[in-house]
Amino acid sequence: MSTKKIVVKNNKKSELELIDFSDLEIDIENDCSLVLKLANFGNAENLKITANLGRNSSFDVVFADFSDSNITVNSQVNLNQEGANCRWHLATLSGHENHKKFDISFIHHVGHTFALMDNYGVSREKSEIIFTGVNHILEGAKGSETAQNAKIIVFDPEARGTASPVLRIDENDVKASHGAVVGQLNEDHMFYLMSRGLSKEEARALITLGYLAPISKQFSEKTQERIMNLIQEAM
Amino acid sequence: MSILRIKDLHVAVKGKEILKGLALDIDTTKTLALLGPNGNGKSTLLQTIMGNPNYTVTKGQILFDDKDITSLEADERSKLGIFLGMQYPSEVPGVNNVDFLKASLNAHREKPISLFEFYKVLNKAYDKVHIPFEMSNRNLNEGFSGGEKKKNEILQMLIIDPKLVLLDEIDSGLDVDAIQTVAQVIKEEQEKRGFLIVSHYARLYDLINVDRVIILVNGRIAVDGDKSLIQKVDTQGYEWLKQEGVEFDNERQMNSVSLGTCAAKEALKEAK
Repeated sequence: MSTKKIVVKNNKKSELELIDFSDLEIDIENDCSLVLKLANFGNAENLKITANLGRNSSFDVVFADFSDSNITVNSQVNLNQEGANCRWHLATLSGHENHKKFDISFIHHVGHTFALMDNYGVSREKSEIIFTGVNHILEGAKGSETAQNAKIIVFDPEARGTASPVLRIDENDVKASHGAVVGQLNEDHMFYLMSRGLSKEEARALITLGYLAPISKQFSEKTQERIMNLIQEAM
Repeated sequence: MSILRIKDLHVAVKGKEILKGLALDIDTTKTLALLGPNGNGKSTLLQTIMGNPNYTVTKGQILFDDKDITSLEADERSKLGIFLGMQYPSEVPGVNNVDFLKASLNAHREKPISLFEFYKVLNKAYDKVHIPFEMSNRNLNEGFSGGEKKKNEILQMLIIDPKLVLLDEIDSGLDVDAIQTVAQVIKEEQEKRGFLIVSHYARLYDLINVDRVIILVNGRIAVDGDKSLIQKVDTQGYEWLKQEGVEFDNERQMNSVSLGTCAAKEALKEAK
């Protein structure tokens, strides 16, 4: 697949929704912002996303992957100038024997740059979800803040999940945080819902919906409907 | 009227026995107050009646209207008309309160409720427990204060309309006004359903009708009496039980389990 190039310049604030997209190369110039909504329902095996962020720019990514196929995503966001800010929110649902790998990295090249990553996954049947990637604060990037949260719910006995994002910090004066959880559905939540008469299946579906559905609200109505249908089908 | 019958109930949590042969009949026209020092099995009894899988029945039976429910899942017990207002209601992220309430209500009906009927029921319940209706659109207990969570339990009771209501320290975390509100709702509901209420404070019991009082010590019923027992415990604590010949398991248990803990939690901790 060819690479799509996106450039935001001249103080623009852009918003873009892409469905079943190809490789992406993104430049967000000084004082510009981009809200990028990505939904993958298709058969892309490999996706590469590269972004370069200028001074006081902001880059919000909402990435919903509800494809029924193998996929490897490599993303690198370069926070090249002071004041650059990236928020990344990914939700993925896997089933069958699909293998999904998301390698999501953020490089803080200079000081006072900010990155927040939230990756959520639900791994079903015999599928596997892997979250990796590096949040790297380079030497001299003082006052930068970086955070990574990764959470995978492993739904079925043969499903697998690995969350191993890495922090690399080469500067002292920074804030960095890191959280990774892989586990079954919360037993207390299940009991709570079941004690109100919901069957095991209904309780599982409601909790999963609550876990994956919030991302759908970011998309256009048509895409929202498609995401909700796929979640409901899967449950 | 329905009857919950508990026969020689033994319950263990992670291999530690907490209930040690408890027998009790509760009929759904009555309100029963369940007292006892911390760590003697009150919450365990309630959780076991509701069917929490962390609590293993090692011996004995629980019957509801002569049906053996000992090994039923929690949802089946709920459908039979048993409800547990939890001591620590879970915050369930992303699960919308209205969606949840509707699913709960529909689980207890043959046909799904119409939208109009549902909003009528919902509005009435919110009004009764003094929770602003706007909060219905929030996620289930997420970011609720302690008092809001407890009121949300009472709200669920009103919507689900059970036969037997188990309330585990429903008054903890409530301010004075909220206790009044909750007590008022319970009082109004006492004619319609049975209650088994655990509380450490006479304040709640004073505001409602209590038909019978049971004191649980060491996983068994130590005293079975009337409302006057509440006053006695409120002013004198539980030490007098020793003079009456009630055996406490051991001093270590009495001392190590302090206020705000429970026997099941201690067992879980020890198992780790």
